[in-house]
Amino acid sequence: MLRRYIQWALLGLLIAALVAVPHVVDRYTVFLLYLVWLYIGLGQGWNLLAGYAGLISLGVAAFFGIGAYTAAMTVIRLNFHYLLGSLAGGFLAMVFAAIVAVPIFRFRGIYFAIGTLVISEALRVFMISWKFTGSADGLTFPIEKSPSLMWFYYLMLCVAAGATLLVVVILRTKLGMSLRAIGNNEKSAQNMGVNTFRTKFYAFLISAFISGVVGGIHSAQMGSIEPYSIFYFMWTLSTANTVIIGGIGTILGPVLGSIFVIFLAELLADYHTFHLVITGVLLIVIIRFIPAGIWGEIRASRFAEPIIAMSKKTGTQDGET
Amino acid sequence: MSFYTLTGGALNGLLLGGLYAITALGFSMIFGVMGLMNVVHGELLVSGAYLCFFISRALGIDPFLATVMVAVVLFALGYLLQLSVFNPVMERGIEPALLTAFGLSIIAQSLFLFYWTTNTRSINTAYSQVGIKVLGIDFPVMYLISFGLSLVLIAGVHLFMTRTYLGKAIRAATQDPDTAQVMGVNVKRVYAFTYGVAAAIAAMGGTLIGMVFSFVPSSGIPWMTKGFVIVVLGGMGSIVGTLAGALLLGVFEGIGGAVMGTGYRDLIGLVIVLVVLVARPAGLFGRPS
Repeated sequence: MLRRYIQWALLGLLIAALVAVPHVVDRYTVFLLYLVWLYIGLGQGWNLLAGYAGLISLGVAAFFGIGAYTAAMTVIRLNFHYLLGSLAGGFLAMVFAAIVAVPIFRFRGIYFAIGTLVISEALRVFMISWKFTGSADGLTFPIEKSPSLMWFYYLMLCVAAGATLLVVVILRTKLGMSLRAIGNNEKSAQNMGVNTFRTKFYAFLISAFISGVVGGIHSAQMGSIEPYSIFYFMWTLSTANTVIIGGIGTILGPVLGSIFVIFLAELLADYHTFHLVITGVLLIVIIRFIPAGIWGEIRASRFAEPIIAMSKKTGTQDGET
Repeated sequence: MSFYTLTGGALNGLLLGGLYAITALGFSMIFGVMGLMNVVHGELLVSGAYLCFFISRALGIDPFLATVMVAVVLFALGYLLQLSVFNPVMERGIEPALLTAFGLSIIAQSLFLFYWTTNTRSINTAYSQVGIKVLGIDFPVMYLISFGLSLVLIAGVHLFMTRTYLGKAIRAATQDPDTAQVMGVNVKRVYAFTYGVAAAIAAMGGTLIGMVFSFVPSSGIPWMTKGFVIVVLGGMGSIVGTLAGALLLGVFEGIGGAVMGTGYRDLIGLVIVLVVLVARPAGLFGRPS
């Protein structure tokens, strides 16, 4: 019983700390943390597909961008509130995902990955030319209505927490089990009666929704967007990066990965090129030597055993983090 | 719109398809032989362009001459890359290899950016911007040169694959790596050789890109995407199919560009790919997997 209380107390402390932090640190650190939440959000969505179902999607930038543009268009042209605009962004991203899912799910494995990349690229090229959304000049949010950085910090924190919770919940449902079955062996899953198309479809949509909402919020935070940077492949790459480094296929992986990647970027901020090179090298090294990522390795290591055993005893359902 | 504009667009597109074929050939080979979507291929092309640019300027020689040197360098680089980086990872499946290629892509792009800045470059010679007029249609000389080169290169690779021992070894490794290994083919070295050749061809492709178009550090990904489009259109793993796919793409882009304007030109290929894949997942010439 005492352990239960301690767990809740620790959780409460964590929440209190996260809420209080922006008031005590400087603005730049708040921004960094905002980015951490952003990547956690994107990461959980990507992880759902890649980590559990084995579907590597390289189209994160597409959904992120759609969310960003939808939010921008609805806020600027239709006077939506930012929150509503972001949700609309997630929704439209989901619709787009549903449309492209039909051709794209014909592919398996590596074709699927490249297919999503192609779609992302196509969208980028299209948005650069499309006049309706400002073509290459992009869109700008009205300055007077812009909320403070702190507001965005809290909003993105909620999104990150929400995305994490969503994934936790999904994994306990039939959808989650089906996803993991597919990740294990798609043919076997199909033989066992899993509707693989529908499962992948739903996961794809959920992932797109999360990316869209994150994109919508970020576009509002940036204040102005244009197609070159919003649809830029870097978003996809960074998302994949944070999840792989942190630990693909785990809940805590994206969290740790985002923290690590953002603060590494901060550390090497003066050496921008060096930082990108390090990121690439890190990705390659991790894939080759530490494929389970930071959290994955910790979990599998001998140091983690007593801690995990403790948490099992106090009644967390499957001990999975 | 005039008949001339439309046929001109289509014919020029056809010629440009030759250039596309060269840029996509390496990508297609790597995919055909090893099943790896070489996402860093674009960077190989761009590095070929940069190296050719600097070497031809430093030594004062024609870019095509410089390309020979660059091709040797890139062959070595590709060989080592496959041997040391990709081969070990590929044992665990193809997705880790894909992600590794991404890592390489980031590294390459950052290095390009750092050493060679964001300045747009192009390789210019006396003949690179010249055109000739045939039957009232303008044809850039470079288009004709690339088209000719592509035919030569494709024929060369095809002959190599069918007539030489190494070529047959490569095809054996493609069909069944395990059996090939048992039969005495060093599959790992074969893969490395394939990657080296693909990189060397990319050197040629890069030179042509530099002479016909221009390039910046981030030019890699759009070209790699085009390579994917061509591989899909032409059939995964078919050498002649790559040429066919590239020519087809060129023609479609040429016609589409004449009709819709150049802004949406790059989009055409991508849309066509999606349509083709819905109808025929193995590509137009491919063997259904």
